[in-house]
Amino acid sequence: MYRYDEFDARFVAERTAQFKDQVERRLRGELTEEEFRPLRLMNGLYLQLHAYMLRVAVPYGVLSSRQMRQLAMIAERFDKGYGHFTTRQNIQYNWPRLEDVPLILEALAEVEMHAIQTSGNCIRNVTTDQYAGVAADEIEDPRPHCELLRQWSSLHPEFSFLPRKFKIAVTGAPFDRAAVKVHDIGLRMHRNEQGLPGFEVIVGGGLGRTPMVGKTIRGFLPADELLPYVTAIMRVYNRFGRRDNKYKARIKILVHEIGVDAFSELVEAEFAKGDHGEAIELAAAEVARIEAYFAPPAYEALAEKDPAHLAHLFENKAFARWVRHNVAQHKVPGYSIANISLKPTGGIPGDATADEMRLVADLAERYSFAEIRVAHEQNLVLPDVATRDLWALWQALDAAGLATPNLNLVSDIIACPGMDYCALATARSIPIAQAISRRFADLSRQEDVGDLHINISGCINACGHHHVAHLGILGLEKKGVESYQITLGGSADENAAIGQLIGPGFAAHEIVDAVEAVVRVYLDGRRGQEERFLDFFRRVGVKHFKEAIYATA
Amino acid sequence: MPLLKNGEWILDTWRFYADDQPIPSARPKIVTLARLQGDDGEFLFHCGCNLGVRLESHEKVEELEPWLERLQLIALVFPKFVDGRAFSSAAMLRGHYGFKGEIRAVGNVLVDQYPFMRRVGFDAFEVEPGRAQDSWKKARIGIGLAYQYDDTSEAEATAVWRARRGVRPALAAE
Repeated sequence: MYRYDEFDARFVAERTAQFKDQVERRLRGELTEEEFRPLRLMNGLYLQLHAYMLRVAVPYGVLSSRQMRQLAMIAERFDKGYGHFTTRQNIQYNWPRLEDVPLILEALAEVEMHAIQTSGNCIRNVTTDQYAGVAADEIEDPRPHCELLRQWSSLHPEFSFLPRKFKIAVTGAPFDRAAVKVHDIGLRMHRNEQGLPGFEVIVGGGLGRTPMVGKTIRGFLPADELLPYVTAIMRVYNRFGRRDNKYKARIKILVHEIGVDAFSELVEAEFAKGDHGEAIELAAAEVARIEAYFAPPAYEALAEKDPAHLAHLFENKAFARWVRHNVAQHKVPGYSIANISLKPTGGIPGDATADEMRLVADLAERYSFAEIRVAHEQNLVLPDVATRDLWALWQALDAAGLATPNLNLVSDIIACPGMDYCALATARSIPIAQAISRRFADLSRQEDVGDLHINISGCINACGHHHVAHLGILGLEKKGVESYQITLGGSADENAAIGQLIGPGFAAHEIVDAVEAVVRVYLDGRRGQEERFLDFFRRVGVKHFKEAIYATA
Repeated sequence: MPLLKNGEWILDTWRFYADDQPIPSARPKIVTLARLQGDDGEFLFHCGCNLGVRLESHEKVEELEPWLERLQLIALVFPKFVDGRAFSSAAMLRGHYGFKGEIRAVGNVLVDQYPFMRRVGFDAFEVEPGRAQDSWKKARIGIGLAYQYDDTSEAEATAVWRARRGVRPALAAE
């Protein structure tokens, strides 16, 4: 993975020292909360319902064991013993004290981490496929370009006061695990006819109050032209994006209002103005330098099939189930990608205790070249596990309660923090996720239902990505009472779609029954198990569900 | 209004004239874009003294094209510090247009934005009276390192990607 050189280290150290000074001025009363606000936001520090919340950037979701241990230390020493992994592949601490924040930032800097640009109207942490570099279906590893974008966007002088926040996602694989079509800029890698890698550039996707699937403005952009082209997009957005209404300030509104053709023309005109020779040359040299850090680890030459592994699969049903759901195909024979679900039955999606973080760090060190990924589904991934080690890994995870075999099943729920933490929330999310998870605790039943993604947001800002869930739940407040709407048919992959509302909302005590009713409609109507929930929905439409659900109510 | 230019507090010799104010003939003056584009616009260049224009954040730099070579100063307005459009205006003036005159930040500018402003090409800052002038001078410290290849504050920030290659831009050939 990427390692800081002297410049990266100095860059973060300077910012940490600067923010320490700002916090001290705030504590001494030299800065008012109003003056302090933009400064703390630049460093990922939010003021939430009950306390400050610090959001730490995990660049494109890649962590080392050493970093994970430091995150555990921070959780233990400065929080209540746990952290929360988010849909942005980051980690949040919900209970830091303001006076401790400089110490936390120093502890992060020690392991080459920071909280810069995890909030504010700037380019946020770049996200990518959690299987980047190891996915069997990958064209090329997107991480060098993610790192290039991370550096380039760090304290960008022109783009740190944008109309609104800005999120870039990159995928190097045709099967999109990074939800690039619902980001401000989505980059999908392709190869051109000469075999050179480049990016399809998708702009104006997003969730929030106005969900939209992004539109392609360039089918193929040579990879080395990425920065000048993204600069052109950012400049058009910075100059023409709306600033009169923060709910209409995201780039998706600009693209929607002027039309994708007009937007594309503005970008191409801006791009055509400059001579990008120097930019291309510097970026190419930088990518080459970064690529060396992402060279594949020292894989052993292993056979594709391991006899002992196959025997364990045959003998132990629980292990076989975990492998079936939580293990994905690796590009190197004899290796596997192991997902660690942070969604135990009745648990809080994405939460991990300090002990769990340390265990994952240890297991990564033992079995996965000391590397861990954070998935936007709020799970963790050990990307490089020899298939023959899966058995030992599973036993260790299982003993710690970290082997829930539910990836992509009903209980693999994405949920925002909701009213339990968030100042914007209008309803609780976590207790709903926990209740659904308990209702569907029976794994055989979950397996029977198959692929069904449930996402829950506690307000219309949609941090829980409910719009792109197969079954989305949106918590609202109606006359002081929580009300939960259900949307169906959303999807975050390369065929991204926004879910459709099935009808009036349900009370908190009704929503789990309603979810079960939706599942029942599917089970009753599907053409066998091979017709997945999403396929079924696309065949029968929202009306079918609407009639079935509300007729029985 | 205190003016910070090239790291020093200096006496501002320029004066801004709103559209309803009469313009004296002999002193450096800053006018609005509307005045420049008006019937008397061309006349303003013929009074033998320096001319600058003030661009509101919604006004586009492209509008200045006809006069860029004859303007000595462009003042870019920040109506609120969160309105970052002037950052792009400055970057375009220095980048696309190669504008060499003064680019001045006016309005609600925060000391914490100083490094960003320097790096897109602002070289003068009108600071609201009462703002701690010391902290403005200290803000220079915040420049340090820059990853961006198109940084225009070469003298004050280390361009990381160039430094990594060991290339000093003007001496690349040697």
